Amino acid sequence: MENIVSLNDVAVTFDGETILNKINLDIRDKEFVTLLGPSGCGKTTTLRIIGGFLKPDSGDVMFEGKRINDLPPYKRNVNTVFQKYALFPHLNVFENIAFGLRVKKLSEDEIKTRVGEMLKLVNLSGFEKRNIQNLSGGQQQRVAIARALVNRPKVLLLDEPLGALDLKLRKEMQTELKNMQQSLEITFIYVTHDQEEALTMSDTVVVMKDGNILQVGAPVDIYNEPKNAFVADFIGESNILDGIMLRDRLVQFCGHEFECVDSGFGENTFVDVVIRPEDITLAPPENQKIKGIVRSVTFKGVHYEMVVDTADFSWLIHSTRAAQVDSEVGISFGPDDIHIMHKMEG
Amino acid sequence: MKKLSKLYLSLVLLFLYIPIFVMIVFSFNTTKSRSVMSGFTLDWYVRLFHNELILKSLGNTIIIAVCASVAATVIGTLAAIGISRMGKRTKATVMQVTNIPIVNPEIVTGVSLMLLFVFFQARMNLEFGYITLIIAHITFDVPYVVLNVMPKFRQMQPNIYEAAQDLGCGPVRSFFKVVMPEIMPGVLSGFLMSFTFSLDDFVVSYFTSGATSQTLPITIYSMTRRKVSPEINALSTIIFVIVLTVLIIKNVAEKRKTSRSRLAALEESGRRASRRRIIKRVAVTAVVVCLVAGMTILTLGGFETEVPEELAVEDPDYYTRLADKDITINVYNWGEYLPLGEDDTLNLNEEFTNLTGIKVNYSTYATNEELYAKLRAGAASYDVIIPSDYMISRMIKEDMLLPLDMENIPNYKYIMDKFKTPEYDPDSRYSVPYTWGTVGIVYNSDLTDMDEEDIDWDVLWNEEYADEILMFDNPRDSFAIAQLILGQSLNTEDKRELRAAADLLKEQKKYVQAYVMDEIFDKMGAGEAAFAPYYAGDAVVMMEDHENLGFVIPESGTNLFVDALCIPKGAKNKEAAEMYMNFLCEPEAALEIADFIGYSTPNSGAFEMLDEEVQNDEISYPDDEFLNDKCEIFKNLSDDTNQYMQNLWTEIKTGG
Ligand SMILES: Nc1ncnc2c1ncn2[C@@H]1O[C@H](COP(=O)(O)OP(=O)(O)OP(=O)(O)O)[C@@H](O)[C@H]1O
Ligand SMILES: [Mg+2]
Repeated sequence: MENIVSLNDVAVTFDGETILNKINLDIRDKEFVTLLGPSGCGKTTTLRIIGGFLKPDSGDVMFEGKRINDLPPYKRNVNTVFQKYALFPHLNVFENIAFGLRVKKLSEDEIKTRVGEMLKLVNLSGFEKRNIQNLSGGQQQRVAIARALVNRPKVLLLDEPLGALDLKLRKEMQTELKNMQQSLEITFIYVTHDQEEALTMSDTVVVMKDGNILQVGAPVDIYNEPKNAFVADFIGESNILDGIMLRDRLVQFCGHEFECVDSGFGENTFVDVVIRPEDITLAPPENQKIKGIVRSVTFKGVHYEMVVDTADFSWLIHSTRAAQVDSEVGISFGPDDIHIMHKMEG
Repeated sequence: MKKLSKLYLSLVLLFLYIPIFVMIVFSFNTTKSRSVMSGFTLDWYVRLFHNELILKSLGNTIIIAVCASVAATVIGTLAAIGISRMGKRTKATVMQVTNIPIVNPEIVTGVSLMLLFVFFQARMNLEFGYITLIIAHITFDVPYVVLNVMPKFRQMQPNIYEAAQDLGCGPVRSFFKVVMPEIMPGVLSGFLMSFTFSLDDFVVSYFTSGATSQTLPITIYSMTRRKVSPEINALSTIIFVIVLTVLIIKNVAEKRKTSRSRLAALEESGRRASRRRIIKRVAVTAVVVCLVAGMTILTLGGFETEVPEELAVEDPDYYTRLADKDITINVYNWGEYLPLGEDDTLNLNEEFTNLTGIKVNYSTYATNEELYAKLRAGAASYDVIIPSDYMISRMIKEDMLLPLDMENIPNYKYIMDKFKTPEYDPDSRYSVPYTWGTVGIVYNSDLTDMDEEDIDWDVLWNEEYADEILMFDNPRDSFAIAQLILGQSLNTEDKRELRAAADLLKEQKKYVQAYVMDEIFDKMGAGEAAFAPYYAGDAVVMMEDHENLGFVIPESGTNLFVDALCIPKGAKNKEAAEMYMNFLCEPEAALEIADFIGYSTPNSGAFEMLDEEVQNDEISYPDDEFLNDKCEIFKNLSDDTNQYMQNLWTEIKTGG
């Protein structure tokens, strides 16, 4: 498949501060790509560069193989759903959606049909005359999506479109959005800082931090093989410990040596050791290398979340069975539950 | 607590609205009194529309306010757009800078603008007038527009400008399609605010206006020397009603808008909407009709007045010499000091123009000092001014007047001999007397049974009338009374004598109810005080309205004042100015003037035409012997003496 959007060595600085650090990204046609990262990492900035609202200080923005750095936003075949919707308050629902079509000077009939179709798609038929301010967050959300989609862009940029919605509505909208993307066959570039959302919706996830792209890959790959401790932690909360790789398949942490399945780190190398909370089981303390005191137990629906303090670390453990608070427990995991990762530079 | 805050609120509202209510009531009063309501009349409204000066200044004010506020709205909106896109720190700095004209005392703004304009006047032929006024008004209007528009940018949905571009609009079109509707309320209120600020600005306009563009606030202020005429009440009432209507309509429209958007949630009833639309249209039409009607009346000015007979002049040929030269002269006079067609008087300026083809630009001031300051600033050039005696001698000394060519003023022959070669202008080279009068004592016969002959200056020190005595609220006039009692010259520069007069005034303070100027009319009229010193001409007017008031010129002597026509240095049309002076000395013109002002005329031709009763009136025309022996005219005092007197006066008024 061909790349529809590419960023080559794109860098942005504001007031001498690096916001995007020469990022490279290729997005294939009809793909659902999600930019995932903590607040302030540069997700919106990346979208603004693709939308044309911001010019990179250096690097190239490519669209279907052509450099579009100097193409103004209103000439790009890209539409945006803004982080706070940015609907036009002085226009009603119909006119908001029809805005782009009117600019293109389409006939009144065609505008009516296309807006009607869009309203049906986002489930807002009958809301044509409504005032924007009188809509709920979810409805505004859907107007914003309809306003962008009605122009039939090749690429739709969505900046945390579900951020303001409650959990239930969010789940519904996630499914709706995914369905729309598939039925309309449009490339979606989607921004979120919710890892679950990223994993459920995307074809490709791009993990960002401090203006850098840390990892690009399918959700399953990112989850199972995070490149470093940050990605691992961001994708799902993890226990991250300082360790020393003594040799292949032998690692030392918490004052003990453990067997593991990783190799190729050399000998006596400092590494990050990542163990997922759900991979740990609680055992009687007697014959375990690591023992600790249960500090807290929280019911999470499917499982209990427990914090167990040992001498030098606070462990996060997920289990379907609860332990007694203040009791002593042993912490147990197998060799393939231990993930060894290179320390991040810096 | 709640009760208290309600009480507080009603008190505040009361204070805000009572004055307006009082003003409206008195705009229908049959007499000029501001304290006694004696009957209902629409007279003042009729007269208002015959008062050329007020209408002209109102026109000026509206033109300037419209131009300035429109320009300021455009500039301010553009500025707000620029500022809203700046970085945080630059934004804060720039906002501080734009706010300076708001916190800056107006007087500083006014003076500095005047200096700037004077600077350019010399270099670029910039005339003080509409242009300078409009620039000045724009200067203080712009910050208000910026202040009103900026919050709209802050409240605006972020990114809607970008959203419009995202949907295919170019930058400019995006601005007008989505940003403009959002900031429009701010732009509108900025416009309204600057319009009203322009309408009633006094200080800045005072410093930046020229001979041709007097605004309403300045005209009204210049009328305060005499007594603010109820026409002003009528005018203020009209303005208040118009503003109120505009505000009500604006609010109703806004309310309708919000309630409609709420309604939109339900099915909107078409019938209701259309009925509302009709109501709105009717309301808007009503206002427009009112405004148009008002404007028509304004432009037609003194329509359908019974035009009095034309003024007869002695030698019509004399007046046609300059007819085809297209000259305009600038005349600067006291407020209400020349008949301009009010109350079926002749409009002397119009008569002059008809006669000579010379146009007259007429503007007014309230004090000699104001006139002096205006001339000194060099901001405007005048052709004819009318200062008082002591100011004339000062201007002569400071070389501010042009010597007159008496050949051009043949009517000077009508000036009574006793007013020729006065001390303030010993060779009669610079001035032609215009009006004169004396100072005397107004008394209320309900509050005293003293005989008129017994009333002398010392009555103002009479313990019996403690708290029923009013006194002049200016040092020169007050000192003069003390000096008359002490037998000093009114022009003494001897500090010991001045100190003695001050001591006497201090002694008087415990009997004085208030130090006032034109409130004397109201206080005496309402019977609040028994005695007050005042000028003879004004007292005569007062007595016409109130039978119980009387006026005496104390036999021991008094101050005689003369206001005279002069031509200041820098006059551009001296010959036309002299023609104007000559015209005002035509006996019939002088008679009109004396009739209108109520002061005495120095013109023998006019005097001859007076009723015998008036000729023999001791108040208006005391006999020559008294005038010569017992009356003294003010001369200009040295700066040092003026300052000393001012200090003593402050001491008197503030001391215990
Ligand atoms: N116009 C600007 N001027 C200066 N700094 C800016 C500007 N816009 C963004 N930044 C900075 O750039 C960094 C990245 O911002 P960006 O909006 O891309 O973050 P984000 O990943 O979208 O975060 P969030 O999840 O909170 O929306 C932030 O540190 C932000 O403060
Ligand atoms: Mg963002």
